[in-house]
Amino acid sequence: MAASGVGRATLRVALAGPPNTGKSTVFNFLTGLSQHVGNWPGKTVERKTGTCQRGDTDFFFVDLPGSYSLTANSLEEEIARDYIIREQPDVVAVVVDASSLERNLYLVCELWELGVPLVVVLNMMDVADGQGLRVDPQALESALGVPVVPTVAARGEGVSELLDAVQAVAFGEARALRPPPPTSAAVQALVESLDDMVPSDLAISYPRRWALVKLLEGDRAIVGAMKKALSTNGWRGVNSFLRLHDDAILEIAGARYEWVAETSQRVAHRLERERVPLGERADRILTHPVGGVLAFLGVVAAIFWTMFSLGTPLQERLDEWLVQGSAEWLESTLEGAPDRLVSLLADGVIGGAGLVLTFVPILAILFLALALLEDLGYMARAAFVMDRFMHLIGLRGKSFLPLFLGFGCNVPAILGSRIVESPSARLTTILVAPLMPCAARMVVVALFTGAFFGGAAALVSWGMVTVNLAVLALMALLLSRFVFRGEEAAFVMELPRYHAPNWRTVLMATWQRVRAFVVLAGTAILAMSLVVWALSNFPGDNIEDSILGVVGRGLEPIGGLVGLDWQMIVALMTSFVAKENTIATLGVVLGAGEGDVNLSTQLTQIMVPAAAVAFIAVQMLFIPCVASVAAIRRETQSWRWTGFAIGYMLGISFAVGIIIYQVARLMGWGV
Amino acid sequence: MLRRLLALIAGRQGVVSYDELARELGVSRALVEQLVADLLRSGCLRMAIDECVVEGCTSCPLHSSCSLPGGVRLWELTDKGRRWLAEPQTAPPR
Repeated sequence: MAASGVGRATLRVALAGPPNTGKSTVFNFLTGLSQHVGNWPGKTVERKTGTCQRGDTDFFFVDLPGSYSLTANSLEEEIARDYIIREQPDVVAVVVDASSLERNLYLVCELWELGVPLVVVLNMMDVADGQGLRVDPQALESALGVPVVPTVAARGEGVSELLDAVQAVAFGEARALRPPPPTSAAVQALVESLDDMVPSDLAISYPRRWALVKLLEGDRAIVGAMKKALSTNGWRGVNSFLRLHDDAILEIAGARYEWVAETSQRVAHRLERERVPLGERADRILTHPVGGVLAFLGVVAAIFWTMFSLGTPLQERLDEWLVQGSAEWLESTLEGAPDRLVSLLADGVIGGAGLVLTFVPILAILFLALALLEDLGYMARAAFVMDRFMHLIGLRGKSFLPLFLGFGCNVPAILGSRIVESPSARLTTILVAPLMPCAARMVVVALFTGAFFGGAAALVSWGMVTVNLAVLALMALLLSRFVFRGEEAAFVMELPRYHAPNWRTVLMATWQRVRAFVVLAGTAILAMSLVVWALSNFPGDNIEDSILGVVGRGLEPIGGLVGLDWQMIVALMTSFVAKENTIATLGVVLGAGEGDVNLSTQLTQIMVPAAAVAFIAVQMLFIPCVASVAAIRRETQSWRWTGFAIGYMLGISFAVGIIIYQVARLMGWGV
Repeated sequence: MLRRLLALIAGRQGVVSYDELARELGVSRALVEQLVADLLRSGCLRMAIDECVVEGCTSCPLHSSCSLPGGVRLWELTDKGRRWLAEPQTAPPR
């Protein structure tokens, strides 16, 4: 305190507090236009000071950088701490957010321990009230023994009372500080041992006992100061002691947190249960072990329903316009041209890659839904719930994250498995990742369920995905139980907060995914369509005698087990290049680009529903695409394991296909 | 409380969220965030996933359909954290 004229006193007041507590609002309200902005000496951090007068007192305020504690974890925290300790202001007014007491009281506890003249400013009382929190300033005042002033600085409420409290503390009217909670006996013993090791006349610019506690907490600035002040031998002894007791921070900071939790519960009460934030209420369901899984299945079902109710009609229109319309236009434009050329363009290009493009609306809805859910913050919850599922099937550790990637595409799922440290768990993850139902497979599922099951298409698709996941679970269970044993591990997941979707981000993500699909259709799928067209047209005029026909009919006995004729088997084989090729190949061999009948109708004419549902199962579990196989080889560095992945998926796909075909026939779907 | 949180994490299998830890400790999520930050600073926890999750995806023609949930951060216990739990040099208060 300084005299600033006849009968006047100047009080130096440090405004401390964590970030975002309204500290600057308090400062601005108090100082108005009398502010000075500069930098802290030798630092690039902004220093704001200001004054105000009241009666015979001049107040000089220093707005300290935001800090959560007195441990110098950042430059800002170091500046705030050093000002309070070295400059010794007349009063430290610590501003806390009343709506987030638990987050803010740690600093109050440390200032209280330090024994500085303290006033607690309980700001943002209106926000706390809006959240249904009743904060009792008297209870906090009783707990601390220092003045606690409730304020709403944005409206200037309580600011006058704050100046009263500052004056009372500065002039000794309210300095009856209660002693802070006692430190544990173990910590006290450590402090005493350190006290014996450090010479009593050591020159450091911090309160001795406080510095010894901070030393035990591993505070870098205090450690540095002590190292500088002590002799080499003296520091060696202290340092050995600190290293032996490097876990002391758990006790010291842990005790403060216990006080913070206990005090917050005593001071703040939630008035209305329904005021629990919406995000917290949503998480209670969406991350619940059972509720979360049911919610996830519900979300998947809703996506399918939207895909079929909105996407399928659009796909059919596009099919009429792009495939049928283009075929008619070609026929009239190329009248008189060689038949082979017309066939190449109509069957190979339009009937193949063009047909695949008609599925853009269905995929766009799928991608839009995924992007929307991700932007909302739901996908992180789905991944969290997925870990529970993975745990049940023996996949522990980080496997859930790469596997989750598989919903988009299996390749990043396989590549992402490298985050799994245990070699056995990593190999299991790589081997089951191709069983995740990727977006490309969804296109084929959409075609077949739409063609055969009409209004029940969404339900059948959902059922097939569930069967797919069940097979993945069984395979992972078998591998982890009998082949590889993964170790237990625990992780803490920080889930992002829910927020309203940013439509620009959502639409951009959707557009990028749709564009990637269109590029794929125009390159790899188009190339494969042309190869399939060539193989189905040479030699001879009859497709049955072509190379494709001969190979396909050679494999027909295998297809017969699941009710599939040779065209379906050939379509399945070409999905090795990319899963969407199934559609392109069917378009080419069934001549989708030739007549008035679309592919869906043609399929219902050549196969029964039992065969269709079996085909979907085989397609979903069939050997992975060539990009996935390359990824498996790269990650396992083994042709043996790559061969194993191909072999077991081939075996499982047909085994499940046969079972489903037979069960479906028994259900009357065989006619 | 830091030791209690450390023990809670070590005793779990699989992934645990801030909300679950908050419920078990009887505190708010905000306080758990602060406790986790302290455990990170003291070296008891470390980040469990890094950039390699997305590295190499460009070889996939549908890499842009990758659906790794954004904003997820995963922490795991370190050897130091396990050691501090198993062999406390500063005994917890009785």
